Amino acid sequence: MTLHRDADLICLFPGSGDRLRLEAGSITVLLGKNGAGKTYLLESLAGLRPNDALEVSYGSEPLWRSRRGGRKQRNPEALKAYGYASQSPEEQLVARTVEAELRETLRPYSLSAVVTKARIAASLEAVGWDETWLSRSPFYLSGGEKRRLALACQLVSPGDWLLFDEPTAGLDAPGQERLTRVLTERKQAGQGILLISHDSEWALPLADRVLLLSEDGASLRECKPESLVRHPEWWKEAGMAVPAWLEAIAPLLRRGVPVSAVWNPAKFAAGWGQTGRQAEDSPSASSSVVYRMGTAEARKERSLVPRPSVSLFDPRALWLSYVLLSLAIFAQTSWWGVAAGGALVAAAIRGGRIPLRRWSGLINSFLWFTVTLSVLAGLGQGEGGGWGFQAEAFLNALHSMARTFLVFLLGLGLSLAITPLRLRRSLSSLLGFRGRIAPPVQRFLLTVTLMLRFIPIFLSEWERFSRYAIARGKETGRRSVVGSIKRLSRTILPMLLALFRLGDQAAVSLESRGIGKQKYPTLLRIRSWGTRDTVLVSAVLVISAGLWLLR
Amino acid sequence: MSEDQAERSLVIRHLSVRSEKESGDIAVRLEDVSLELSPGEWLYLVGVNGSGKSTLARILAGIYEAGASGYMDRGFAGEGAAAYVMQQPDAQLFADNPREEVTFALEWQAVPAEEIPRKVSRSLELAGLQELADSPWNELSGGQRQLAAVVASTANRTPLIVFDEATSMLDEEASHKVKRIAKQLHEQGTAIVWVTQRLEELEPDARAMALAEGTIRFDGTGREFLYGHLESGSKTGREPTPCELCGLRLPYLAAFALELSALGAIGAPLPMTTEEWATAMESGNKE
Repeated sequence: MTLHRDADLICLFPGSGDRLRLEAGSITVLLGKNGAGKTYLLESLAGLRPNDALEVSYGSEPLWRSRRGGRKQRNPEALKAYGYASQSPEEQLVARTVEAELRETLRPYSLSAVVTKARIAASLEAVGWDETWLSRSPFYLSGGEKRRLALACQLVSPGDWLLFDEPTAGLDAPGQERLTRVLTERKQAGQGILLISHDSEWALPLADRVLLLSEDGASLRECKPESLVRHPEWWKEAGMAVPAWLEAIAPLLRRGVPVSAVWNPAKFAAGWGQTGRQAEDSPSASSSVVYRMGTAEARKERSLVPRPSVSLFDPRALWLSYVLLSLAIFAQTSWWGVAAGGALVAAAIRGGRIPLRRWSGLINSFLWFTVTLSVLAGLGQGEGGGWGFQAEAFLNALHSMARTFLVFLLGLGLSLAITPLRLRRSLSSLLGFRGRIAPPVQRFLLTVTLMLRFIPIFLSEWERFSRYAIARGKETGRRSVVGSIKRLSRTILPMLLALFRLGDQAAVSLESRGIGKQKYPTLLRIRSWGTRDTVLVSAVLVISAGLWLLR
Repeated sequence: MSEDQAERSLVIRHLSVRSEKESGDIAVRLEDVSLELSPGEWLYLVGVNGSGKSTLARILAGIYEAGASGYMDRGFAGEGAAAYVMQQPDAQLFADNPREEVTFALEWQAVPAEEIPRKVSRSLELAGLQELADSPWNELSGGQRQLAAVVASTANRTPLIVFDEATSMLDEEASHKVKRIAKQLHEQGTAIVWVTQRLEELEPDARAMALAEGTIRFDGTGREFLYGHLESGSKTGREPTPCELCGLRLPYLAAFALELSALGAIGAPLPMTTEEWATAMESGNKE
């Protein structure tokens, strides 16, 4: 059993010292209750999330390396060891043709032209397509065809490991059969496969090993699929319902029909007349190993974001303060004024405990955008008629962009801190008259509310697609201009498409709830304006006036 | 709504939905679909992705669909959109916590202000969400968020509710809770359209309708859908069942039941529910 292949996936849990080894050339299925953290674990294993509770290596390549200054950085060689397919992998398609899509996946590997061609041909064949498909546009494919292309993209990857998150969700029967066949072939060819599935009927017959994640996400039970059939209590311990199919066939198993026959309904049915006792299990069929991970605490902390302290104020007070400060910042003509504005914005964000850190990706992009645009503005013809870099034009542009940037930061912070419906309610009680509000105003308020509501979703989608961009582009997370632009291009398009779909669904949902149709929805009273709100607005008024004078 | 209308079926005749793709081709999403839905009926709608089941579900819910042509009488469902619950909870939640969400929904139903807080508490209690009523969404699991979406969409209303793969992202436990709410509403006389890919959700005697490539391929009971019309004693190579003909994977238990039936071990009606299986297994034990 100590055959060390250099392709195995090794995961050490420093909290307990336990060490999990997943062998290449085998299929491992990760099961667990909703919300136990299966996707979180898979993303951690792929290095898409920093997770101190596990130390992962692909063969001899550690997933993370320490850099000078103690910061951890992804190891590109480890990232190249796997191909990653998220839930609904078709959302990640970015290229103009099927061929370009496949080449996009291969790009980080710098393969020779011959090998690239061979891999593309093989992956097409595996999903049952020929070369005529190469020139088609992913955008015009049907949903099922997009899924098939996403599978081809996963298969074209030359890594030792294939990681899948719910690969059968939404697939039709022929698609599921194709997936089963392809995964079996890949396993025989020596690739390791790790997949999350809640479809136990499909996944267990395929699995060599099962990992059962505990309900709190803190431990993993490793066993054979047959053992899981023998031990319904393990499902329950993990907070899961025993699948109906397993409940139904349990009496037959008790009568001694061997577990190995379960996966084949015809073979299993042949055991119907058997009247013996339960067969003696071989020791390996009832054994399991439990690994303690200790990741639960870290996850819990992540999900419990402290609520911003500014939410104590009336939303109207906050908006008024925002408008005042923004006007004052926009009025600044000197660099000193911009600096003062910057200091104020920083103080407001820190003092209000507004969680802007999560937005660092977007903020950095905006910063780059600001600088790039200012440089472009600086390139041109000077007053003397000479072409070249005009420092003054550059500084002018930078100055106005900097003010926009500050107001953007402030606005972002505000929208994160105020819950949109609270805002709407307070504005409608401000604008309402005798318990009613004019329909155009109502529509305006609703629009603003909904836009604000979707800002946090915008953020989580941004984070999600950034992770996928790392998985596909094998980026190490090092900060560089080229890297940022590359990641941006791989993130923005799929994210926008996902947001459009979400927007479409939200519109349908609103329509079905009759929102916007009702001319006069009920107006609920809210807590009235308090002293602290007056204090806040007065203070901001004084500060803004000061800034205004400074300009 | 007049009393007569409340008792009339929702009728769809010769419904087609076509949309023009960006490439200029015409995509047919539904083709010549006709069906009737009675007041208080429970309809399971199944089919693979792209079969048109979601389009049909939206039309049944009374949501505008571009490119639709044909005849529809909303009957008991009434004019305007019916409640419609989707797969993705995040696209259906507009507030920040369950209480706000349901309040928001009731405000737009023009429920009198003084009744709202009580109604909100009661419907959250029914769903078992009272303890999480004021927690922000990131402290709730996907299943709990979906429950909140169900409560908000169904609060204070409608003779018809459409669940469009509302449980496909949920595990069994959370699915059971969503379904329990649907069952409660059904018992109170609400008609339910339950769109799903999880065939284990079908019930033997409830109506099941299957779509494939934009047309209705099957309309009968859940049991017929899984097993077809079994002729007792036919052991030679079985015909594909309606389920397989629609491109759906036959569930393991259904495949197993058909094998047992081919061996003559069990006869029609083949078991579907947990109770039926328990009975069938017991009979096997006695042999």
